[in-house]
Amino acid sequence: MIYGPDSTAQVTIQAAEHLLRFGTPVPFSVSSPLVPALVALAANLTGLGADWAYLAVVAAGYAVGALCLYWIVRRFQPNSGIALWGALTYSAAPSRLSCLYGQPDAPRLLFWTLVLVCALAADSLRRGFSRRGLVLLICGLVLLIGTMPGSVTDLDALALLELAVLVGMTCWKGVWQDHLVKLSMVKPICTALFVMPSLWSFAIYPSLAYHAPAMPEAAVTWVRMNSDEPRVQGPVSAQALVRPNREVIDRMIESPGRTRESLLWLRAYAAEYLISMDWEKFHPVFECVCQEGEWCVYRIPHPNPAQAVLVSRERRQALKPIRGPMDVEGLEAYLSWAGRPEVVGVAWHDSTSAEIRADLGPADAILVREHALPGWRAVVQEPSGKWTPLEIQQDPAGFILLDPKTTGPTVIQLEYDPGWLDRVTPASLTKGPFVAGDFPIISTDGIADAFDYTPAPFKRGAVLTIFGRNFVADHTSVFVGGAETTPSYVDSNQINFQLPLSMTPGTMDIVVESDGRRSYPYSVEVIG
Amino acid sequence: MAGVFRLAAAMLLAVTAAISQPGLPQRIGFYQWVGVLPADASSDLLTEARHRSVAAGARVFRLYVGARFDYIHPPYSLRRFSRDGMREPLTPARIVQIPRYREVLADPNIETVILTVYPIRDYGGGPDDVNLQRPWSDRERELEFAQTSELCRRLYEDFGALDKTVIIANSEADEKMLDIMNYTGSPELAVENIRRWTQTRFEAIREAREAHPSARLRILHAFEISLVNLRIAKQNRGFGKALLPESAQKRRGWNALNDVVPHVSFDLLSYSAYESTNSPFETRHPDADPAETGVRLVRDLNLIRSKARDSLSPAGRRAFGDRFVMVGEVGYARDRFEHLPTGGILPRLRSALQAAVDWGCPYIVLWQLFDHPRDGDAAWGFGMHDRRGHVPRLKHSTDECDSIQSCLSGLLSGGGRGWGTVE
Repeated sequence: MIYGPDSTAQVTIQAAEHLLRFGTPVPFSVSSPLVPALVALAANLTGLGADWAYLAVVAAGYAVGALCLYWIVRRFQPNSGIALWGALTYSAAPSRLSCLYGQPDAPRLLFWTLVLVCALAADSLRRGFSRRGLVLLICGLVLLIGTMPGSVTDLDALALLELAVLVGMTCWKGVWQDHLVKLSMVKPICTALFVMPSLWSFAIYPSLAYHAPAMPEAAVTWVRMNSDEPRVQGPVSAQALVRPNREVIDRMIESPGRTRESLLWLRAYAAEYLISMDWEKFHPVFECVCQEGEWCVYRIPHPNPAQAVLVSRERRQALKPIRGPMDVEGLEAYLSWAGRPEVVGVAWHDSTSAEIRADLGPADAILVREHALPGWRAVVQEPSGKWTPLEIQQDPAGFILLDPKTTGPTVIQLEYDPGWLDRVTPASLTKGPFVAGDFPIISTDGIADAFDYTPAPFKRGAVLTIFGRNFVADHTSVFVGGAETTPSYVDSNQINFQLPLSMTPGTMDIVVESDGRRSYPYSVEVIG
Repeated sequence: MAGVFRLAAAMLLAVTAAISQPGLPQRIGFYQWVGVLPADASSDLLTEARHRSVAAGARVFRLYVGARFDYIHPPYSLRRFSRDGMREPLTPARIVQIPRYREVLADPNIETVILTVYPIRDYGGGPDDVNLQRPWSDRERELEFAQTSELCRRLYEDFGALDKTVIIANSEADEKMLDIMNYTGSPELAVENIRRWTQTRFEAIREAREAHPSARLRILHAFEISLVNLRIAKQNRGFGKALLPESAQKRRGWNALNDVVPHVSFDLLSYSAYESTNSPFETRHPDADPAETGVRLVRDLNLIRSKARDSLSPAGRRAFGDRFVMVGEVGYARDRFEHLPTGGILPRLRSALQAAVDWGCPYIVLWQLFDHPRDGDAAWGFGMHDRRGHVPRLKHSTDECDSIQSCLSGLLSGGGRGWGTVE
């Protein structure tokens, strides 16, 4: 699996490939469903690759946008010169070009195209009710929802402003328009404005779109040549598109700082390589195995980034959810469980079904690094040869966990067979609480008597010291067996507090809460 | 009376062994595991490491022989051994027939080859090292015995006429025990599996040796440990290494020295010496007086010897007398040690080597020739050569001894030129 810088274009292409492979859309928060669906449809109909189909959809959206504006203006202004001027200028408007070149963004391009389609339909209805106009409006609105970008950006504001200005200038008649159409140079200039960027886009778009933002072709090629094929899934992994909280994690990895957390996430997702130009962040922690200009292909050290590995059933029981993008302790616990070297055999029959073969020991379960979407089904072969259903569990990173509870050679068939609802609705992500910020961490052997640093057991009323990280002075509480106590001293690495005299002896969980975030519990023994 | 005779015999053996102690080039060498092949390299990692080790004057070389790494592809790569035309199934005996491995064994400049060997089995995902996280059974015993016997046979057949020593070793039994405990939650299983595995391997090697009495090649079995004073103990979030005070009676701790060594046999005990050489176990902080490095190592070698003496095989006793503890790994990470206020790598390494040589360790293996790939915030920069193929200059140096390479070359070529005047 390669992990690289992404762009909306890459995400959309990967989402289309996901749709082609699994027959289900990716979650709405990852990509609005319409564009990947159009790309997948175009790829299916034409036999083109998803990247070329993407290009075709973009071109169509670009042209339809211009056409719609032309039509709208014509309705207000019979003068075709004005309408053409408006349509061509709109085609060369900054927001449209930016969707093509700056940050290739087909969903946004199509969204604003559909706004014009809806406006056209609404205008038809305003002029007189017609069934065709109504259908057009309803379809336009439905598709508009289907392309709605996940978040509003300055590009949307710009697009809105451009439309307002253009429609304002062209649809309301003014004296200036008469002068404008009389200028002989206007039409050639507008035509050039339209044609030049269009031609340019068709000439260089394929390379720009697929590897934007300017990920070097040579680096991608190097990875493809030097990596094990089943583990390579493209510059943005289709797997990554359906993992929980992808965006916030990706943003952290691609931004400066938070090196440790980024490294842990890359390992958690068993990324094999990272393609990045952030030398300051990644050069000290990863080996740059291929350099291309300012870009480096970093090999990510991992016990074994194989698609399936054996993991400990017993430790799974004690594994806690990963609480946030900066949950170092949760990630480390996850990796110490999931980062195993013992590989399991996975043979894919096709893109949605696989056979898993493993010689299992009594403590073994199987981690398959495929996102645990609801449509996955598994059956395990019993010694009698009969196949029985096997529960698909989800691990804290969202991958499939299989626990057939058998020993010896075991064969499991894994198949993705989504229901009809899954096929028409975007997949859902597991949305546990995912809290930003650093979580307090109690060090290993980090609770001791405050006077002589002896470890547990402690007496009731004893003054204890907690050593750890990420404690916030004035915003820290300690919970002993669920009851809150007020610490007598807090700094970023140490807390002093007293065990209540009234507590009942036994094993107690101690939890630190700092700035609203809680540590994992730490068990100590309290005696009378 | 019998006790007096035994004592006299032991002293005689010790004296004999001390007198017959070979020179430093025959005792000091390098280990190469995963590493970054420098840009100026002309061959694979293993061959390059062998050449540079020999060039430094070492006649001891240690390498890994197992399914997980082939010295060409990254560890666990699906393509490993794909270029070697291996017949299925992969076994250690077949791996040592691959030219780059074979050349290590055949190299006339290398007198002792230490093989870190794991039997190989396909658990469904291709060849892998033996899985010790499941209860030991006849299947595991047969696997270990058959593959070790096959390896020994192959070595005797191919190299039996050479006056060399091949040592078949494991890698840090304590680390494996810790891994098993964390995986299964059972210290008993970890201890039992390591005991049975080690004893099976010893028996296979002993039988193979007895079947080839006239061979000049000497095959020995070494059992490697890494914890002496520390124990593996149950901690709040699983098992970990800990220093258990005597008072902490309730907290049981395990390590291979105490729980495995008394129950197995071996010809040689290998000590991966980081616990002694890299930081005092009491503080586990590296910034300590470099001169104390050797003191700690000698203290721990003595402790190991006292606990392991009864498990030494007759063959081991004949070969090494009372000096049967080798240093299987010693090394320092540049990013952790080179900038310490108390001194960098060179004074520490000198102290450790001096102590190990004086103590009589039959072999001392340096970790390693080439830097391993950067791995997050893990200690980095153990290599004699960096990723560019350069030899990193180190602090506290003299004109003749300013890097591991120059200091070692001086030492191995004749008496420690430059090491005596290290600041």
